[in-house]
Amino acid sequence: MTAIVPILELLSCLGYGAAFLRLFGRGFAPVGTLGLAMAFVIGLGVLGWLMFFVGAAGLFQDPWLWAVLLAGLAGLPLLAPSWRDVAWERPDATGMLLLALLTIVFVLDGLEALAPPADADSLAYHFAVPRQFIRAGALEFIYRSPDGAIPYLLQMGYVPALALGGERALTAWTGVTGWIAVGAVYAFARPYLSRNWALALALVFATLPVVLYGAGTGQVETRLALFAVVSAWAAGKAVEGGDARYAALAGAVAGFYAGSKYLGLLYLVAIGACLLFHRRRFAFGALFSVFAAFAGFQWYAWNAIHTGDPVFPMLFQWLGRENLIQWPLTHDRYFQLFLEGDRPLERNPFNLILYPFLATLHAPPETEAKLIGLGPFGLLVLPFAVLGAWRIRDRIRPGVLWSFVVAAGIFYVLWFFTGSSQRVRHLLPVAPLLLIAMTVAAERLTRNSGMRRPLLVAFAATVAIQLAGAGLVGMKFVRHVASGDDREGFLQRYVSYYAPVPWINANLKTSDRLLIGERQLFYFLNVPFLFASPFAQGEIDLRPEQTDPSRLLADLCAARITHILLRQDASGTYAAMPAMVALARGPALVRVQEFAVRVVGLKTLPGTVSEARMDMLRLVGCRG
Amino acid sequence: MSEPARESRTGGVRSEDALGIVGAWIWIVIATAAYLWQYRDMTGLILGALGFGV
Repeated sequence: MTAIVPILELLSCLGYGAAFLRLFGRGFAPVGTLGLAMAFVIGLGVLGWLMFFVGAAGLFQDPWLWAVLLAGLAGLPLLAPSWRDVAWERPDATGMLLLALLTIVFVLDGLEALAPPADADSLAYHFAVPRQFIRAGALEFIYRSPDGAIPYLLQMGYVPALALGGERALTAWTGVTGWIAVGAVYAFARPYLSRNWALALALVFATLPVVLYGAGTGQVETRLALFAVVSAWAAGKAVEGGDARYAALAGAVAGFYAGSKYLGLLYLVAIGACLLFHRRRFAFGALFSVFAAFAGFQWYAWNAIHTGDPVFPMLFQWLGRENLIQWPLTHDRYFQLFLEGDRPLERNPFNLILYPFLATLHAPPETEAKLIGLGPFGLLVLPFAVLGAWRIRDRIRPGVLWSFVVAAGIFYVLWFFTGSSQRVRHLLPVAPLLLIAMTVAAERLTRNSGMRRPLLVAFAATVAIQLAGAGLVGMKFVRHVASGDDREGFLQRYVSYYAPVPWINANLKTSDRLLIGERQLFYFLNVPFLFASPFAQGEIDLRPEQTDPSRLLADLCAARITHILLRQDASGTYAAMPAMVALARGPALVRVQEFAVRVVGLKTLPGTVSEARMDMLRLVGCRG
Repeated sequence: MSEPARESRTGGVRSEDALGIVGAWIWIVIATAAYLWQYRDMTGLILGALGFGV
């Protein structure tokens, strides 16, 4: 099943996408590689969209999941023209070299797909939430932010992989979809670039630090790039040729983006703005809006039903239910402070321009751009691209490449000024748009010119630097396979604070509830839990300012907590939670186990590992 | 897309193109060096990961 399920899901997505495209009429969709890429991307959205309703109906059981996947296969015959049109030409020496380098990256990514999941965000929610839904057999509302109550359209695609094929099918699925993003960069660049240039660009994309970091994990940004590219392409076709069907398609696919991440709402605005450049802007806008709302509304409705706020908790202070035990208004005000910490740069026009340079050359730690950035390519190619665009400025008309640049630009400006987290990886979905447009402009500028050689060196330098990074990142997966290390060994080595997990699953019952501060352990837990974060949850007041142990005890009892897993600090206590320190001195908390744990700074760099200790406490002070 | 001729009648490279080429090389060298410079504090960790105990 491990191999069958990802392949079946891949074919199912292709079938669903082909069927969706056929709704727009025969001959509407492109054929060949581009047609296949589009069908998959749209099918990925359709599958995630369907899975919401399957889960909301409480049908996350194997027979229903098989049925959803198998139903998609019915659309496969519609792809026959695309298969027939895929051209295979023998590559020249440069093409062979590029394919060889892509193969190296592909093998390293394949080894990652074979390894157990170890990325913190994936273990906290991208994988943990689908697992929770599968165990419940239905969708559940998670009163947690910013990684609980969010749009999950893409993660709905993880549900059949995990439920039917197990963990390895899940990691294989993320590996497959990550590589389809690389293939999509090639496919959407190919109409404007020669095969070798498109291959080189695909190699640059495949080895971007942020892609190396996230493509093989449950993180959604690499997969969101698929939605971003297809919707921008459709918007470009709409304004170029005036065919309203493309506006509808752009709306549907941008809606899938919005259904997968809140930032997709900004992308909807960006794509909608592109459509305004055509004289049929009102018709385009209406179609775009209807399709976008249909494709992306469900998770916002899900939030509104449970909290009153469709974009929970961003508008909670105005729209939220006042009597919500899991997210009180007083807690919501505290949560807003947490968001401020993710924005190191003040939001002003100067920083808007400065940010990309800063993120490339001297990134503030909050942006995570030094290790999870967009690489040197944009900086190296910038003057070529700007000069290339300037040279052809009189011939620039609304179309696909134009739409790529406008959509990416508007998204960036909105992202920067609306107060989103300034982590650079949130820009990854629009990165292929700029990579393609910049490369086309630079390639045109340097054609038959002495500037060709510096441009080629810029590509070579980027690939060399990024391939070195890929090798470094891939080494732990090579070691894992070479050493024959088992799953537990890998997790003990690469997941911080993992040591208590086997004990928890062996000793706690499903009637217990664990308060746990390590979000990267959620995926592994077989017992109910609550995240011990002062920001992310509102059931228990864990703010450092809260020093009253009796109030803490009342909160813990009300939340039905039975056990608490805490890190020891240097003094052997829990100084970040003064009320907990006071409570632990009394009889209400009993230490039942102590663990020696590994703390992994950077999984790629063994020199960043340290040791620590954790305590498992049992709560005995609740009455009744 | 057609480009203007770059060869002068004497067979040399036009001065504005030569300027662009030199500028492009300078940009590539400086930008690459500046990009790599930010990782100077991680050299030991990277060498350690590669098996060279530093």
